[in-house]
Amino acid sequence: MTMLDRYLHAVRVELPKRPQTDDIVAEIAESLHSQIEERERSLGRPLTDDEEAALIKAYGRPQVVAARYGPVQFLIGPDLFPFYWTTLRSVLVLVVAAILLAGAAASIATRNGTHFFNALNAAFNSIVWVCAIVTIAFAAGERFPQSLARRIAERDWDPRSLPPAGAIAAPRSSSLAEFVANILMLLVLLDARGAHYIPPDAVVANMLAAMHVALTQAWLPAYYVTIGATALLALSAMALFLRPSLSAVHESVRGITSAAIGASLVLTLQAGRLIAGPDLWNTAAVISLVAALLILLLQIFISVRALLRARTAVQP
Amino acid sequence: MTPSTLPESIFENLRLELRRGCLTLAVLSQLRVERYGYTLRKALEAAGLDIDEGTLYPLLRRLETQGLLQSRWGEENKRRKRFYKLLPAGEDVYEKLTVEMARINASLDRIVAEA
Repeated sequence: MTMLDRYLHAVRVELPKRPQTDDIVAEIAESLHSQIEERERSLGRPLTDDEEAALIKAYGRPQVVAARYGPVQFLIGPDLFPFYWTTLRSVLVLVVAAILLAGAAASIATRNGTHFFNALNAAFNSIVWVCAIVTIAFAAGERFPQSLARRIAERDWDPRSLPPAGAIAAPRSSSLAEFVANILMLLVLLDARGAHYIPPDAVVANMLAAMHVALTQAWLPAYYVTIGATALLALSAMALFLRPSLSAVHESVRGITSAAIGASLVLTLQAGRLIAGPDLWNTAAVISLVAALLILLLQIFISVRALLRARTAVQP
Repeated sequence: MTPSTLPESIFENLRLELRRGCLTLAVLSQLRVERYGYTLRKALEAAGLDIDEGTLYPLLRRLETQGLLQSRWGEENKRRKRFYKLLPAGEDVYEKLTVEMARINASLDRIVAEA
């Protein structure tokens, strides 16, 4: 088997299996034979091994030569890539959120915190699957004009329905982090009521028990308001992730939930003792509630200021 | 960035981009008469346009897939060679591209002269 035969075979292996494959290889063979003959004619002698190797090398590495015959040279091209990227991020967050929520629900329903930690593990594994499936779908979209990915990229849009320019698009990473933080907070709050204690709650419960103190019923209104507010914030953060231009809506939700929690804390302060136990602990609880109120006031101030700024940006 | 520090690859990429469309036009022009790959390459080379086989043959395949030219195996000097010739659609495209090329050239001449 000559060097040329081996080269042609290497190219054939790299070529996509199509009816034209034989033709392509035959043509490359013919071209190289012609070149070799021309060189031999001009030199007046057969080529040496080194000369033939140089000539074949100049034709190109088999993978590169074969790749030039492929219609698509990239996995996902520049036309589809922006849609691939947004789709990947949206699907990732939806799947991870759904798994975490299901885990949280299972944990609460069965009073068993391990369901949530299993869900964390499943969510982590799902990242790999989502990446693979979305990537394959878009790689297919690059090759088949009727595919779903292609239709996503080519769907109609209307300049009139674009969000206002003043709406500051929130970074998706921060809205995602906020969503996850609120879901975890929600889980901890719900778990505390059920008193089966997932690890963060258990630490607080053990600490309180060690000090022979207990929270009084005075906390209950604030507790329920905080659960509602946290759920609302999680939903709003998810909406903001999907539509980063909704930052004004989310900022309003932040301000309103802060105000609601603040009001419930004021009610709690007026309801009587906060701690069943030593007076010192009760005073400490009152001080921490007042501190929390101040932080909430600060959040309301930040939200109102951000909303006013967004308004002036829209109407200069 | 000063010209001396500009990577050679950037110029090379821009040059290839500029060349790509011109090569197609040049190949179409030469295939109004039937030729095989080697003589096509020689004809282009004689006119001052070098093109290596690795570029030429895949280009011919693409043009054939697009229905602009047809090919057949024939024999010359006791060797099987693949001959290419424009189809009517290819001739039509060639005429249109020539007009477009002339228009671009004229515009560019004006633009570059003004600059």
